[in-house]
Amino acid sequence: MKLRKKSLCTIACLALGVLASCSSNASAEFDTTKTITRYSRDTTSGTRDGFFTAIGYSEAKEDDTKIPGFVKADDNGNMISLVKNDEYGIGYISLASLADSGLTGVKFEGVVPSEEAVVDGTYKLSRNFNYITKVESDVSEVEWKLIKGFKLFMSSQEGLAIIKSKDGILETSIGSATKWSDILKKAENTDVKEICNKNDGTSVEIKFGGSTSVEKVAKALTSAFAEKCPTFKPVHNHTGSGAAYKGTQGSEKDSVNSMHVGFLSRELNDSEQAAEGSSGRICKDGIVCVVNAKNTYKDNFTKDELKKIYSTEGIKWNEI
Amino acid sequence: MTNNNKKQKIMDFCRVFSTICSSVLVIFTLFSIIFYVFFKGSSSLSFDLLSSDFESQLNVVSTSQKTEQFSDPNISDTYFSFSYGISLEDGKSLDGENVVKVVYVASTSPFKNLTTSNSKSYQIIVGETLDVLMGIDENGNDVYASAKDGAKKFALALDKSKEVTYLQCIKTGGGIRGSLISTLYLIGLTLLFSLPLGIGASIYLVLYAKDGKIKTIIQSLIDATSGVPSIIFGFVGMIVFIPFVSVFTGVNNYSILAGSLTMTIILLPIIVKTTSESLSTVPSNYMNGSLALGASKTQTIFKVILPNALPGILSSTLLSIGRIIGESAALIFVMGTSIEDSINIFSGATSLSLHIWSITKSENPNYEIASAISIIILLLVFAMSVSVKIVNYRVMKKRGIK
Amino acid sequence: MRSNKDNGNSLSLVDSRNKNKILIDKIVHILFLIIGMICASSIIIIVFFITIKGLRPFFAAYENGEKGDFGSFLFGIEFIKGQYGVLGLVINTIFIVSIASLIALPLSVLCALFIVRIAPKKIRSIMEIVVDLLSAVPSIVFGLFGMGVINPLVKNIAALFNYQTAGGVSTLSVIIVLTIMIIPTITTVSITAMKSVKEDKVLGSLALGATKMQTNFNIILKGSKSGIIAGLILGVGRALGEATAVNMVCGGASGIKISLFDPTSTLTSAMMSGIHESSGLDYDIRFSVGLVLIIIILITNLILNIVKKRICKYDK
Repeated sequence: MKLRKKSLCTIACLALGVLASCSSNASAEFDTTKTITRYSRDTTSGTRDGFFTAIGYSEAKEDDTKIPGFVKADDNGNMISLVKNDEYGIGYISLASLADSGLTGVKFEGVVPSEEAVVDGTYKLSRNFNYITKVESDVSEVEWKLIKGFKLFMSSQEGLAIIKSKDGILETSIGSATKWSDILKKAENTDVKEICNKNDGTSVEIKFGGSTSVEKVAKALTSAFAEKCPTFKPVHNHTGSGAAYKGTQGSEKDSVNSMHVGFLSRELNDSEQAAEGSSGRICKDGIVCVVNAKNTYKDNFTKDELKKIYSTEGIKWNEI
Repeated sequence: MTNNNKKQKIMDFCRVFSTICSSVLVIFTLFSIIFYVFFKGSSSLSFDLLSSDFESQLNVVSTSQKTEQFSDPNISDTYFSFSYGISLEDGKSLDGENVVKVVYVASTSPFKNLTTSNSKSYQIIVGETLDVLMGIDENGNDVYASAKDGAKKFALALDKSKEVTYLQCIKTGGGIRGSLISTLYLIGLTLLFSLPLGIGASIYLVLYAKDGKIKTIIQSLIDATSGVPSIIFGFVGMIVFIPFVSVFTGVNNYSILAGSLTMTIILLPIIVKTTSESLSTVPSNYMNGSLALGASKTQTIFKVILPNALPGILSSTLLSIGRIIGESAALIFVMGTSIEDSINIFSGATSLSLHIWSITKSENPNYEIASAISIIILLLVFAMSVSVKIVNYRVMKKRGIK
Repeated sequence: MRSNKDNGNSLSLVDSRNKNKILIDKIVHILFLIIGMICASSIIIIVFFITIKGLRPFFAAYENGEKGDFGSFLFGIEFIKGQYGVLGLVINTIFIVSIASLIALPLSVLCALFIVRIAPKKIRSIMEIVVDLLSAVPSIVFGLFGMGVINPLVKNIAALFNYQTAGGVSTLSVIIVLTIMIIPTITTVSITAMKSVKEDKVLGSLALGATKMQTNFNIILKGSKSGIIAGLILGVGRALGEATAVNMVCGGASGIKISLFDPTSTLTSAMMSGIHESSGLDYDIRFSVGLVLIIIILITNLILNIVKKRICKYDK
């Protein structure tokens, strides 16, 4: 009896303590004397590449020492949950995932991040989504036909509509593109037509990978293409833009991480020499500098402010 | 003297109190974990989640307006397309994406009689979602809409298009059926490899090996394996088992088979330990009696000793299953993190734990689903550990009565 | 003579049957020996391959002219691309694990004592089940719990001290998660050890006039010392090797992080982060980190075993 009372008491005390510590400070004001926690993606990320290029701090693209004391986010999802939990944090994500993220997207050089602003070029913080495929000699004949078909599908009217529906930003109008059925009618695409009409229950796995930012668009495209072409069986494993070249034509093209088509959320760099005709652009995407939803202190950043934030360790909010 | 006594009493009270406190803390942590997981995940836990695919199923259809105008059933928060007789609402898919859901289809609606792009007939079902609409309005201009525009715009765009040339009807995904199946495959394969090896090794250690160098070496090597962290097993799996499996399949790829081989070496020490314990508790006169009756040692082991050690083997199996369900660090490197629906032991897939990992690392992490899967994992793992207790309790009771 | 021969015939029949049996027995014996060898060899395979792969960065030449430097690997503080120093990770890991085990040890010993000596029978069996269940919780669930509950908690605690955290991802979160994870390990082993303390020692102590609690604390705890340390060894091993949960709450900062409220990184989290997309030196160096992890686990085991021997020297 005595024991039970004692244990009940302790449980109550503990619960109260935890509740108290959880509820305190829940409605605190934004304190500008706090240090900015700077989150950054790892060096293989295309978002990182695009962000630091756009703010004029390309030294930091490949070099972690140029942003001293930053906290590393392994991927976009990680970045979102980190900034979500931190009132004083700053990070950057793809414009496509801003809407669902629950974070505040900050204006860049006075321009609100939006699809239109990226298309007309007033919003400068943008990058391209690109793809790179294996070269013809590395894959079987069927695989090559499927890759070729997929490339054509990406540029078809249907493909563009799908890209747009997943927040990809198109520079040309959907109407100006050719319909998929018309593409198949062309003489040079008979091999694609032949494989797309084949429906004998067999399927060939085509592996996709690369940037996590492009994942949403890529998955929508491949599942729509699979519907057009029953032989095509897409497998996705997205890790980061760095994997795209390595897995298709680079050092890992025969390893576990190999893939038929890799996606990049940046341009191929000098060390990634793609074979001719094996790469291309899918669409544009904006990068948004994000802060926590509670942060109302700043709603606009200039290039230099962002550069200063990322290059200075221990910088406080009121110093910018 | 009384003073001393009082001091003693206070000391004693403090001691009791400290033990109670720490025990309560342990209970408290367990319950807060369970509570958190249930609180967060129970709303997303449903039969649909268990039985549906992760990838969404997509059908592309085309159709055109009829002359008929349909009447609005007036369901709240929905938007009605008068010329197609279909009600749409804004909703969320299992994995938390915004979607446009079909909530009502009129019986004479063109959507009841569709043709897909591979010229099969198709009819839309309530609960499916629509995305990417391409159509042509009466003036011959193009019309576009997609799920991100919301149900209202989508319905308007439908009404506007005289002819719908491209429309995706999607059965949304986000389910964990594939991961459930691959977890089962993983458990089956792993037990297939590890039980014979583990039981064999413990039979050797307990019944054959004479005390000496070889026994000690084998024993201590197996013990040492249990101290290796699982991430190291994952690395070994990546550089040993993946190439090993690729010898048979020809593709250097993550696979469930490689995963189960990795799990096998993780589980060996556990199985050897539990089985050895139960083998050595089988009374030695069973063995002597059987041998005296003229049975060979082999016969004795398989017909007398093993049946008596069965409860121990059973509990090691249950422990192993619990461990397989919970393991993540090792498998991330050998089974990959891409979630699959059609499971093949020669290609990568995710177990339930890896599914959670994959979700939390994805573009838009969905912690509700992750918690819902955690509920399933916790229930399974707890069931395993309780059954081990029950098996042990029964054995004790049986032995006690005997 | 004749009858003798007959006798010999039937004997030889039995003999051949016996021979068969003995042959089968021998084959089965060898079979089991081989199985035992296979099981035992797995650790050798592990160590062999990790060592080969882990040493590669310091000897092999990579495509783009990168080469690992052994000295700067061992003594470098920062673990970032192009500059792989493992010392910072080692220090962080040892710091985190030692604090976690220092917190977990008394808690689990007291809890075990409560279960074995103090609690009434009903509560005892409930507690045993609770400890069992807690030890069965997979690390991925601990990771989720850490992200959803412990990180915000740490954030608020830090705010009480007017200290700013990165949303709670911090050394302290890792410590708390690891503490929760190793408590059941130590408790289970301690319970077994405490149960095996001989009852006559307890009765002797009581007869000498010690109170029940004094007996519990002095006699039982002393009697189960070696068991408790064995539990600690297991717990520390688990904490050192834990990867998933740690990776989910630690944040990922490089350098030596001693402050409780700052993001940190450990050996396992560095091994885990982004391995699917790296290649060349960046990939191989993770195996070197793994090798370091194995060595650290070995050394801690050795040290703790020596401590165990020292402490328990005079007991018997």
